Amino acid sequence: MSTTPLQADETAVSVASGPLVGPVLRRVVGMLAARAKLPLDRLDDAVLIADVVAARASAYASEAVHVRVGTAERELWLSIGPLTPGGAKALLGESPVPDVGSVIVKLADEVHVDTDDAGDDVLRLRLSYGS
Amino acid sequence: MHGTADDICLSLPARAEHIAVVRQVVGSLAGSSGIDPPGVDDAKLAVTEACTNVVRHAYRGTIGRLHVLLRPATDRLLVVVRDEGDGTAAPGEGHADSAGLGLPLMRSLAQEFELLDVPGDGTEVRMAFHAGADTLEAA
Repeated sequence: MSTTPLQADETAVSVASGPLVGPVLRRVVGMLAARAKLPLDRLDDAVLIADVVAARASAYASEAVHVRVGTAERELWLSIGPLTPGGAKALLGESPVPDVGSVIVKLADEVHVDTDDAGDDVLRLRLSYGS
Repeated sequence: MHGTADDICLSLPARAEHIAVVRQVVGSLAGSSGIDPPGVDDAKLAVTEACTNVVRHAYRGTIGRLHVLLRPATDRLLVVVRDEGDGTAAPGEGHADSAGLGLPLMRSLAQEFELLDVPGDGTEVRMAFHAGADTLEAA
């Protein structure tokens, strides 16, 4: 788990790698996106991104998938990590559906791949409405 | 709050609007732990009470953290709700709600219940919900 202190308004979720990541993450992200007053279409986008993360992150996380969620008025950001080196790019990989490309890159307003102090990947995303 | 590798850990700002997030997760995990729908409702209500106590009483006018650990198993769900407040009251008093119903309600709804109140180190409520247990409605 990241050693960076949590911001006062951040929510942190840690789920053991495996089948529970999806159900937990989609509910947490969905609820927080609703609280941030994102409109329904952007809320759906946030949940879709959570589903993609849940489907792929376990393969690049050591024991648990760690996600931090921050919100502001009509804005949601996610920080997923630590992931093994190369894991963030793998999460951003293309959809298996032909011609769709990367779901996360298409839906998020900002995407950053960072490296933490331990050399692990951290994927940071921002979704907003009205940007 | 650190659990085992199989746990789900949530850490949220201790605000009322975040209780629903915890309730949603509890509902999902209780169902997957083999707990029937009335039992799921009991679990959600008990955890809501525990989280509400943190929001209302743990931080005396400031916004602290609400920590929730969930450990699902095939026939049982353990939920631990913890805060980082003063914990200076006598066990049970620090989390007294205005009607005094919260703690008795949690004890009735959970099949296992433990309250740990450590002065200066917060309060921890540990509850376990079993699949196949009698619910308040059935009792």
